[in-house]
Amino acid sequence: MNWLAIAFWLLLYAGIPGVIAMHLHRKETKINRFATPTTILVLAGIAGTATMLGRSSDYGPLDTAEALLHLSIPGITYLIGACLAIFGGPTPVGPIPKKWRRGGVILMLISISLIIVQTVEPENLPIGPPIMHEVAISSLLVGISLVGAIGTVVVLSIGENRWSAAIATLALSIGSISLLAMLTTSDTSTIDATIFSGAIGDSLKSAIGTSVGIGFGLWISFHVAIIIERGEKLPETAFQVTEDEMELVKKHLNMNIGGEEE
Amino acid sequence: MSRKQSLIVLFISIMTVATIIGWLVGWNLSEFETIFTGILIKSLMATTVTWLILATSSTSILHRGRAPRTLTIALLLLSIGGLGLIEIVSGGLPRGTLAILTVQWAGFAMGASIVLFTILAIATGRDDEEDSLLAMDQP
Repeated sequence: MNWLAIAFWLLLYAGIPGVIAMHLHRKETKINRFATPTTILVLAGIAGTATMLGRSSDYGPLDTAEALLHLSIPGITYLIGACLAIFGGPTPVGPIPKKWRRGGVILMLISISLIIVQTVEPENLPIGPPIMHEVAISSLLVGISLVGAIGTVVVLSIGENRWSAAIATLALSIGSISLLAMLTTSDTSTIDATIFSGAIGDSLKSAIGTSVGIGFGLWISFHVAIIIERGEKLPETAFQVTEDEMELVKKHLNMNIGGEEE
Repeated sequence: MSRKQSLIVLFISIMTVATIIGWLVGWNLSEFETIFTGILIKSLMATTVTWLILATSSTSILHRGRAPRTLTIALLLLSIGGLGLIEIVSGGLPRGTLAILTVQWAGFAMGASIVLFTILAIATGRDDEEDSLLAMDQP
């Protein structure tokens, strides 16, 4: 990995969380005033290093951005549709037209159709498949199938018997597994089953590894934070209570609880 | 269903889906070591990125005393150690690994949000639901 690539990935994984944390400070703080210029610098750095790296034989920033855009089109369409479906109808702030809900459901169905077409016949879409097409699609489908199974169990174990939600998540999970099966067994010229098998296997390894890794990382950080904080002196927030103050508090307590007159 | 039963069913369902996908891509027990090493490398990378993100997002509280400074340095050292472990386990990461992982993480996040929003859309969007405040005005 060359220095430009290291700079790009560091700016992405270290710079972006850093500037987000700066933006979360209160408005009047110095750090918040520096947040916007720092964000511009970080974004400019990301754009600059990505442009300088350009396209290469390996997967680079531009290929990643292309694949992310490819994923975000059906993903964001689905989320917008789901938001319309959630917020259409009666709400605490008044009724929102019910047609919004129908429109939302239609958007969700369009998005699912788009995911199916992107999976099965990506070359027929107006936007051609990206270089990392198989990585993007396999991870999306593996994610939906695993989280769909988790969602079904969670929905059923809540106890309110939300069968329609459980059926929907189960359908999403089974549908994704069917698409994965189609990709691994397909003998068409547009889908290379060997490449897709490798990508799906790699996605499954990533899904298992990521969940274990994030859990382990957070567990270690939590315990490191406890160890560090335990050794620290607490800052002095108030002076010790004096004898006079204690007497005064006791007097007030006796008057209020004990029923003594002043 | 009790909490313990739910957790057991959850674990079984995850394992079932993972086994089905593994079977689809032709995983078998003879490749166990290769698969385990792959999972271990991905796990170490996720851990390293988690520590790096936590360290950099706590840089804005460095002025609040010695503890945040120590914690940030400790997390940075842990992430550097994680990088070292990845190099030892993988014997040199192939180029493009971070790009692949970034796209995979985005794919998982998108898949998870699709399922989550489906549940929310179905659970909250019922046709027979009525606004009780609006219903008060009706005769």
